[in-house]
Amino acid sequence: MDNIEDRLLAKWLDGSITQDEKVSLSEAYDLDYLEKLLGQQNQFQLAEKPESELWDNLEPQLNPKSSSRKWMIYLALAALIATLSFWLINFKSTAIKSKQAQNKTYLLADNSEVILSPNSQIVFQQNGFSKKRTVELSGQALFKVQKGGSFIVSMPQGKVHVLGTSFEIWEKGNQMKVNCLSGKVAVINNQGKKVELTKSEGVFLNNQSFSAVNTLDNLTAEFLSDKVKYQQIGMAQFKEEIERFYEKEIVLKDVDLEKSFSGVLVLNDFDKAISYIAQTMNWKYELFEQKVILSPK
Amino acid sequence: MSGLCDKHVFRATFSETQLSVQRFLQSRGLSLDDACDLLQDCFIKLWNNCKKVEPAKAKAFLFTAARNLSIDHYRKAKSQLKYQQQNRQDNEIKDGQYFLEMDEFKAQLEKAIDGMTPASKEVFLMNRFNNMTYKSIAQHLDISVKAVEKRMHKALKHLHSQKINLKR
Repeated sequence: MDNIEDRLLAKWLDGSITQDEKVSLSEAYDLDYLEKLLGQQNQFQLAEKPESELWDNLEPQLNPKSSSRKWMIYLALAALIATLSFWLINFKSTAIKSKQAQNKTYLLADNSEVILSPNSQIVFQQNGFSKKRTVELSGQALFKVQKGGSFIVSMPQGKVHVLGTSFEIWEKGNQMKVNCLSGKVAVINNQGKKVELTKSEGVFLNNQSFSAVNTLDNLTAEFLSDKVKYQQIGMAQFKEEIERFYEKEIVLKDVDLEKSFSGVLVLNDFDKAISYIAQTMNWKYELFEQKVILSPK
Repeated sequence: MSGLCDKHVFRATFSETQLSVQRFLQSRGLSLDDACDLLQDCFIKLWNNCKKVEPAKAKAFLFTAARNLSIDHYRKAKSQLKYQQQNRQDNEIKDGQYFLEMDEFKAQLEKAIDGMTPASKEVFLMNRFNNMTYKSIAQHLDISVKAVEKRMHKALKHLHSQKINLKR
């Protein structure tokens, strides 16, 4: 019943009601009264605010379209990419690394030659290298430097200023060694103390203190010769040094790691190297194919 | 730039639609000031989406936005104004969207409209004050035409029962 009335009232309101339907509807409603009521209601309207006032409030909040904001984002992105690529091209560091048991020769942009001892690395900026010759070294290397402006090798322990020359550097832990093979170099520790070396002179830096300048036996880089000298190197570091030159695992069994080693490491002959170390330290050793176990007697 | 992103087109759309959006919001029980605030939000929304909305669909977009914003509005008001609940009756009358002429008829009509259920009141106001057809009310409220008929029927039944004194 209600559904029919719903429909009839709707039809009555929009004027599409038939005479019969109107009769049936008027049983429930006083249609004349309702018509008049709605007619009078029609004279009233909801209050409203003038359009101009609304628009004046709205307009300042409509930002010049978001497309310009998008453009700003694109622009910022482009600038970022440009800056990054500029930085990458100009300031990207190049790293040259040598593998275990292998030397590596590298020619720098200024034609200076670097021979890296095994497990060593140099890092430098390729771009503008000829103007600002700075190389960071870890490990050991021989430098044959072309004449020119200053050539600096920097390390955690200090740096070496080169004055047109060839020289060998080794660094590990808090130790560093420089052997000058030709020309002149200045070695400077982190406290700014400087030692100048001329041809066939070497110096050792241990914990920031310099040894006396010593005279080299020959003018070949140590790691390119048949032995490397060490002074009071810690056991753990010495183990790494042996492993750097030989592809073997060194096992120190019951060895006091606080002890240090001073002496030579023979290169290019593993048996000889181990037997010499064992003799120096008063150790015994067992050789296996891939490893050697060293232990106190 | 084309369509609604063009300020002139947008301005014209505003002129065409603002009144019905304003009335629609009022018919949802909002005061004139609240309705105008939400109206502004609706048009800002439209402006921010001017690239996606075709001018012909602007009105539908605005009504959907108005509906959602008014729902949010009531949800917020509900949680903020809990303590005012005892005054609700008063507020609803003051909330009265239709500042009709101050005479007896108007007062009675107002009272009668306020006595309707919210659903009926909404449909009644949309139909009688916003001149919307049942079909477009159904679309805007996302209900069936039958439901609109039913609500309108209830509204008229209520009005009929109030025996308002007609003006001479």
